[in-house]
Amino acid sequence: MKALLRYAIVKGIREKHLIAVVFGPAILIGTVGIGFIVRSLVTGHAFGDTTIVEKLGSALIEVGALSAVIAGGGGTFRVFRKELADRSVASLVLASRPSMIVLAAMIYGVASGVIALVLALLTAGAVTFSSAFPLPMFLYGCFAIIVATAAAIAACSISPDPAVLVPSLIIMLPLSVSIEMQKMPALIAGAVILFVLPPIASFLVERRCAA
Amino acid sequence: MTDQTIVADGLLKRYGDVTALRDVSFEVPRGTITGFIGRNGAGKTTTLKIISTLLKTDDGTCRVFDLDVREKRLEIRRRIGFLPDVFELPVVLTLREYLSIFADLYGVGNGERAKRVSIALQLTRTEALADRKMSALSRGEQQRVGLARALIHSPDLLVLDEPAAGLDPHARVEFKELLRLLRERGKTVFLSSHVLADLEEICDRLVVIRRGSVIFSGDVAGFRTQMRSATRWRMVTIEGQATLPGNMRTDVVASGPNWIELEGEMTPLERGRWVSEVVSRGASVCELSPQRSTLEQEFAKAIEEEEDLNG
Repeated sequence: MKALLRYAIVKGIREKHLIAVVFGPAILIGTVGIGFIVRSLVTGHAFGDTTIVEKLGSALIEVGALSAVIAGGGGTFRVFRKELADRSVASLVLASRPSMIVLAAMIYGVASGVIALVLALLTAGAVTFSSAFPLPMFLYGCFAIIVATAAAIAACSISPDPAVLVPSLIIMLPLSVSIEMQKMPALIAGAVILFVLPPIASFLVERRCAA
Repeated sequence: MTDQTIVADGLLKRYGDVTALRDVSFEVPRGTITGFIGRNGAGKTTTLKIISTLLKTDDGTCRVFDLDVREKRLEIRRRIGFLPDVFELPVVLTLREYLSIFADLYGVGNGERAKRVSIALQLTRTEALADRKMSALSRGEQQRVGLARALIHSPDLLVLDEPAAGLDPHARVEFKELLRLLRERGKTVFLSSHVLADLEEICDRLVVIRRGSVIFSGDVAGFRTQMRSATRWRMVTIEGQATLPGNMRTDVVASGPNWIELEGEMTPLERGRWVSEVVSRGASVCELSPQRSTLEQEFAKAIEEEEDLNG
């Protein structure tokens, strides 16, 4: 497990997408927030309006959480797509187990996604001058990241083609929003995805070796 | 504990309507180098994957280290080093990092990891590549990296699918030396290759497969015996034409302006008469020697015979 995580981190750093995954959502939030501040200063209105700032803050939190979900899932897909969807996975499978490879991929995706989420939420707080950390949003955002990572791993165990992520995104984006809004059906769907997709991905990885 | 590292018995594998392996049976004794020969699509890779526990059979049994490949996959995987025919390397890692990660995956402890990496680098003569990113490796270097990875946990059995592919002549010599060294250390090697001359040089045993069926399994000498190879005799002249011996029932296999090759058994007396006969016709004989057929020729003959038998 440790070795697989080391492999993923080194690969993520060397291919320069781990930085994008971790800092991308925060940069997005920061850019929007700073843009709003500059616009308010130039136009001379709205900036002092507490209601608008609060609305902006919650919008930035929503966007930050959603982009962290995409970053976590996408980052995992980027790092492991060749390893999982290629016959070369046989070398990894012989040295480890398919379930361990999938678990390592999930830990990598979730860890990078959660760090991205924390940074995005902190940035949202900073640009809206709010010291309160949105804990419920953070917790449900973490859950959405875990679900998205499971979906991304299942996708990359099917094919390394980035196009395979499109249906996952189509499902994951509204699902993530619903999870973050704490909708019970979405939470149940997320839990089902979490329990079903990783074993399927493990099975597909084992099958890939035989191809 | 048997003396056989691999025992395949009646393996059957189908891919849809295509039968890839049918009733494949053979044994690979411990501490030997066994070559696996067959044309493309004969079932070599399928068999190697079954042995490596990566593919399940539809019928038959395969035991590796006396363990069933279906039931004891994890135990077997820990003890084999597999080099697939096609593999990709993570181009952003250095070879040393890559091997260290695999050593870790195989459970080699922190203290021993650097040593194991160093041994694998030495054995595969890849020390010079150790700290280079793997993006700039040639095909032959990639093969050697794959081999280093297969050796990193000091496996008891090496299963190599076309390991000589892409190796230059010098690297092939080194590769053969490496396999001999591994055999001396008690390791078992089972490898497929199309370079039959190399196999002939290093293998103790051969398994020959044709269209999913094993047509021979045994030592190299046994393969030659089974093929009942008649000796070829080559006569070369300096002046004049080399001609057929008059009173012998032999077949001309090949001929040129000043040489001729015959197939058939000849006693020393018959050979003497043949030389005298050619000399009496005004030619100067400078060579009369037996030509040992190559494994390639024997293999081609085996395949042809099987095809004749099967219509």
